[in-house]
Amino acid sequence: MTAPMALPARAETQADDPAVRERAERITRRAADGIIDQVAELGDLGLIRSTTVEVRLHRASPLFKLYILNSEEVFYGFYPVVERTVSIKGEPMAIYDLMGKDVPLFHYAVTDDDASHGTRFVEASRQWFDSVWSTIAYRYDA
Amino acid sequence: MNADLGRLLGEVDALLLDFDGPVCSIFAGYPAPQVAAELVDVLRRHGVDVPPDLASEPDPLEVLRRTGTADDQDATCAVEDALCAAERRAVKTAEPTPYGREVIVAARQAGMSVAVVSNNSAGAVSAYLEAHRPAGYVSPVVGRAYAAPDRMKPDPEPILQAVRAVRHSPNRCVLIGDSLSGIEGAQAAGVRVVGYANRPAKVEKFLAAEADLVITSMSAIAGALIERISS
Repeated sequence: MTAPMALPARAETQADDPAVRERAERITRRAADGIIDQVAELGDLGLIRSTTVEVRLHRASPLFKLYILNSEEVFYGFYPVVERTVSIKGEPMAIYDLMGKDVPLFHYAVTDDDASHGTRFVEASRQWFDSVWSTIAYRYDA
Repeated sequence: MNADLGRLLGEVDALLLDFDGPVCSIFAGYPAPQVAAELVDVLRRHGVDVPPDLASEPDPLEVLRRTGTADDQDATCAVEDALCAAERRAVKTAEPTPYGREVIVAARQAGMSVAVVSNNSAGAVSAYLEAHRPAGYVSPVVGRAYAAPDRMKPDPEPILQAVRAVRHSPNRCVLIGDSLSGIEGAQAAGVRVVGYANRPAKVEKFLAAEADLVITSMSAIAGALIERISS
């Protein structure tokens, strides 16, 4: 994530900023590492027979979150853009941030009907995911 | 001092900001002495006999103030109009104050009202806030009364106007100002006042004027507000 990003951005300049990017990278890394650790722990405890995690990153601004479970269910939520002052390396900075903690997640599920809204949304989500995964996404090393 | 600042901010519900200083340096790209000289030209075109000390006055607001005391309302209106126009041009090249935006945004996060009380014209202040996009966070914007420079700060009335608009009692409001006129106006209005000493020489002046606190960077306020949000 060393390339300029549209979001998050520094509010004053309305532009990419290395300090803001570094903060976003830290948060992304923490989230990915958390998932990796927790999945591994489930395996270590013997709660699951075997586990694997593969993480790839992309450099596009994250404007939404999308969870695809077993190719059958999708949870989708928007990340609103919010201006807020945060502390970066001890210095206050107003940034345009992406806030997704308390947004509603919309649920879609495959049904028996191929033409149903749920079936089509899950299929389109998978196609979108695969398109990013196989093109601009790059390997993440924990 | 940070503990004192945190305590003071914890006791107020509204932040009243002076504009030129705490928010931006309005004449950063269009120097104030040049604007003052243009106002003096307006006076001369109006047939006013300009004394040498007024002709060399570097502060446009001071030119307006002194014109107001001469009891020539036509001249006062002419200078006022010229100054309003100059301020509208000036905000296009105004320099944002370091951490000024951080203070406005953090105050809103902390649930505080944020208002601007300025001796500059409200039109220029609003134009700046809209161009830099924090306009939605600031209400009201109280500028100087039209062609009535005797009603500028230190007159407490513009400050009280903002206090009434944010609907908090004066002692639940704090003014952040970088001039003696702001500090005196705040004291007369009964609101708390933090002196923003953006030049070292101002520290002593503001302490002598008995500002509740004196800071040398807006980051102190932003930092204290962030602490308040996260605690």
